[in-house]
Amino acid sequence: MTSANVSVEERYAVFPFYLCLDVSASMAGGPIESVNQQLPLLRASVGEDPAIAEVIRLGIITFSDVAHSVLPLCDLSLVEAVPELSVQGRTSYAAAFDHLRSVIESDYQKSRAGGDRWYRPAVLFISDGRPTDETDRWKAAHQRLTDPSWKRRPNILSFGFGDADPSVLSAVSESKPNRAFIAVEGAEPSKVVPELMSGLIQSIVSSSASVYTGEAQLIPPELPSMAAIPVDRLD
Amino acid sequence: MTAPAPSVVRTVRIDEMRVGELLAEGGEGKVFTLPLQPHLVLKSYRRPASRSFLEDLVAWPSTTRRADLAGRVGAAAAWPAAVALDRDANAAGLLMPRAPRRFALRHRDGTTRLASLSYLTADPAHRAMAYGLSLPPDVSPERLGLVYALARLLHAFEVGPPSVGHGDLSTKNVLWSLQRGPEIFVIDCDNCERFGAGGLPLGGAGRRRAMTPNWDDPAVKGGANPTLASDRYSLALIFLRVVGAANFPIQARQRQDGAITVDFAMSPGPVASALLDPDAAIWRLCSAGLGVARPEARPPASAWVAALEGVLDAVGASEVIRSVCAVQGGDRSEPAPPCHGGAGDVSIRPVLGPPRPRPRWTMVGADPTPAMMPWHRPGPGLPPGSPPPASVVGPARPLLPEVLAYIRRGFQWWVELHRHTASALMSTGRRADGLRSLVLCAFVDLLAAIVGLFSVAMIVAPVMGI
Repeated sequence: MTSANVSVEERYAVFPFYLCLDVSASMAGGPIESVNQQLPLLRASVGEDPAIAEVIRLGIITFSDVAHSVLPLCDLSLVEAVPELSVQGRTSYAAAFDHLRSVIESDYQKSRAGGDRWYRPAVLFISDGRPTDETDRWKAAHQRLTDPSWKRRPNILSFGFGDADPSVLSAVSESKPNRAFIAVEGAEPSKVVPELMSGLIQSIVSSSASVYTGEAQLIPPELPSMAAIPVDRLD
Repeated sequence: MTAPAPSVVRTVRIDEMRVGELLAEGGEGKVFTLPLQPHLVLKSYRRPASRSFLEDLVAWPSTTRRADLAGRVGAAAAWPAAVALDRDANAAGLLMPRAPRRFALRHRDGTTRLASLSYLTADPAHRAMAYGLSLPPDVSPERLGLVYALARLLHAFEVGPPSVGHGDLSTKNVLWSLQRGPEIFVIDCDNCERFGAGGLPLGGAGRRRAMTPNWDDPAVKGGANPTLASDRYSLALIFLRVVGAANFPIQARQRQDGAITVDFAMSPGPVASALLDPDAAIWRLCSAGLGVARPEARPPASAWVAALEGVLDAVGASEVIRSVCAVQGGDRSEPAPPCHGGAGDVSIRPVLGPPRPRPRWTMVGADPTPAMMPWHRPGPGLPPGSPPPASVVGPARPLLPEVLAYIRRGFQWWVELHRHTASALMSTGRRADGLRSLVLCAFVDLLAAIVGLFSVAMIVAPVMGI
């Protein structure tokens, strides 16, 4: 009889999340303050529960003219505090996508070397504006990030408010249903951002439970102030 | 053995009770505190349940022939205490014991959480670094003692009659404490089912019982309810994960591949030396208990009780047995039936393992300019003998945040003390505790006032030229 080996070193497969936040100048004031208020809650909700922290890895990437990893992909129980974010510059989607492609590949290789197994990573893309770089440029970067031949390509959930363009967000989420969300008309960013951040926390916590079933699912957040962007009809 | 006592069923009317704050909410219903009965909680169902089923469940401990085993259930399980009725006398919920405070853990940041098994199913060095908790190392007498305490409870469940199966002995339903020696407290006992002599459930048909993913019995098909043998699988799984201090994600493999081999690596020590023999009774139990091919061959809890007593005696930790017996009541085990092994679909290889990789802190604000200076600190409660967390990343931590953290924790403690005092003074039966806390509050407040006045005087005096 052949049998599979299980050892002490074998851990649960982890579900990596990348929170990709627009920190361009238009996020100044209420929106960025809301984000900064909610990030410690995110750390506590995930990091202080060993059953959730065990299977969730989270990285935070900010983008404006350039993109930075302000929190490398990590086990949130091993992070004392999350960084405080500040705003600057314009809204380069290309910088965000290129950075994501690079860090996902590098994180995957590091994790594999450390014995971790991965579910397909999820990117939670949040923006309050339209890309300020040329369309061809950000689309080419997006294509590299979602290239079907790249095994680590992430699932992308995108969320927009303020001046964000629904058609652009839909494209960011590869026009997949229930992956792109836009604030409903009249919803103020001061209301949308806290709701979005707490919705994302709930989404990550709920997704962590699915990891233990052996079939992880990316569970979208419930957001009363946002609506799913309908998928385009092909003429 | 004594004759069964007359069954005792308590019912209460929800509309005549003072219901407190919401503690938890799940698919089945909501759990509330009861301000006038702080040792109990109310679990209120979304839909009315079978009254006769719940009444039988409440009465079960009083109907068993073994009063000593019924006492064990009272000490180690949140067994339903009364059926809660709505205005139309429908069963709308249950009153259940609340987990005592010792079944909670205080994290380094001051937050308190229920002591779930998840804390024990990973390298204790990680838990020390992440939460500042000092947990016993793998294959320690304390960990064996926790499984021993659970095995004794499950033995009481199995003896009945009728036997009882919990069906969902998962991380969140088995709480633990080491404050008074190894102790467990099983919650969500309304998931239990009574089983007749033929192993068939006595509860109503169509009742759906929960099984938590990753803690479920792979021998039970999707959509089916756990069986009496499912708790025996859970006991073996909990032994593997808690004593081994590791995840051991075996169920998916068992479902896919059938047969599995578990390499059980242990840190060197007296317990590990005693368990190195792959033919030791404990490994026969574990292999048979985890078996999927023949669930009926899984050993009863009584066999675990006897085997664990044997191991604890062999490593000179008999005080763990005495401690568990003192808390749960009753004496050491009676002779247990021999375990002849399972179907051979699970094989366990105990080995001495190399040191595990040390956990590492994550540096915040990595590139290009840190958004915030990291001031990570290692947990204060690393297990004795474990290496210091030399892999802490980042520069030496500045003093100010450390001081502020102590002030914050002190303030949280002060608030908690006053809240506890107020709550105790308002609760019938806890007034004496409240008065003691009140004296402590007065002393602490007086001390704080003196220190505060002195500090202000030290600042003001030079300004005023005194």
